[in-house]
Amino acid sequence: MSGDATDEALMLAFQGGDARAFEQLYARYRGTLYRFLVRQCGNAADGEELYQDVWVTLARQRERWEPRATLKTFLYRIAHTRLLDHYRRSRRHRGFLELAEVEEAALEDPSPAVRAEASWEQAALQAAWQHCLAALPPPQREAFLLREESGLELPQVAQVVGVAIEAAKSRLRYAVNKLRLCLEGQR
Amino acid sequence: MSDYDALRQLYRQLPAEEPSANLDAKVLAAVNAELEAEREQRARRQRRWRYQVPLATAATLVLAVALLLRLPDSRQELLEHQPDTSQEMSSAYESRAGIVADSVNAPARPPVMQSAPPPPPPPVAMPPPVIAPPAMVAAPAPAPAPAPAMELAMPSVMGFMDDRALKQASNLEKLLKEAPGMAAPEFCTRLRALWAATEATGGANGEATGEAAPECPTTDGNHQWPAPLSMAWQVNAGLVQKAELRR
Repeated sequence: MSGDATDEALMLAFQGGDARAFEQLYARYRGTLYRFLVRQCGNAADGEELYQDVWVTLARQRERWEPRATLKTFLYRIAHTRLLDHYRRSRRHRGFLELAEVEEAALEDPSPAVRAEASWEQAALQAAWQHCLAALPPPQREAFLLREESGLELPQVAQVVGVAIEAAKSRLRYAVNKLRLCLEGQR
Repeated sequence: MSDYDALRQLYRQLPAEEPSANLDAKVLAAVNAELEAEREQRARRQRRWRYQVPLATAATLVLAVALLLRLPDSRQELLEHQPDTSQEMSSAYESRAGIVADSVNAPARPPVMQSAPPPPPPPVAMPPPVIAPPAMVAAPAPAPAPAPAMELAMPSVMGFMDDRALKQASNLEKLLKEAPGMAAPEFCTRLRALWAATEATGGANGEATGEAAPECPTTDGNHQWPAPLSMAWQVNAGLVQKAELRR
């Protein structure tokens, strides 16, 4: 199947058992899904575990997908469900990380991408974001990350998290305000 | 620029982390394993259907054909053994009469004899041909003739006889018992009355002919009547020597 095939065409091929189609879909969403999960969880280990789980779930549930729904919504809906399971398992929302811990982690053990290119400023920015995102209530953080990482529109965000559009809009507005204040405080 | 746009711009400055090659490989391997397992499961299901359906169909056909082939044999075997039992039972009339006599003599006896073996012939009531060997079906216990005959006939006859038919059968049995030594004219009178009663009621099994009673000879010699009272009797010196139902 050609590289410019639509998500839906690839998903239909994958439903028929085409592993190549899955590889193309995976290449399209690997980065955004990964960042969404890692940033939503607040740590790479949990995020990566969920990341793997989401893709396997997509493979298992591919028969349930229907072409009238966009694949992106379907994929992030699975991710949302897995996140809820994760929260239930961990019994508490891992939302908050001490700023000192984040800064220390960012400075002493930056990720490979950060180590390669980033200056100290970039590392500090990343740490500030990590802190501020972690400080958000999970539903607000999820709304913001879905919007920014996956590029979903508000109605789709609402669909993924299973709330009314007004509620999704409200969550996003709260998230933006809190993040702005938090990041200003970090400078 | 709105606050939101500024925030988004700032967010875009974050490094775009991506899954490691190791994680990519793990995911792809897990999904491939999932696909493989499904394929295997589907193939197993197809294999199962491929053999089980024809096998079940063939077994059903064999069973059906075997039953069809076996059925006439069983019937034949039953028919072949029938004379043996009927020798002991004399005839259907005798059986019916016997039942009545038995029920008259022992009124307290429950109407349904649970220990009675299944009745002989009517083909519908035949025991399953494959299971029951013919000898068991046809050969009764070596008991005195009337009793087993009555027991054998009773379940099937009881269901069909109404009160009037029972009474006629009882009268017939009585006449047969009392006939030896009876004056021939008296015997004929009672026999004609029985004929009339049978015609009037239609008979226990619908055997009425719609005909008037035939002539009843009282002279010495052997005489007989047609159905429904298929009777044979012998007169000697104006007295009935013996009377019996003809088969």
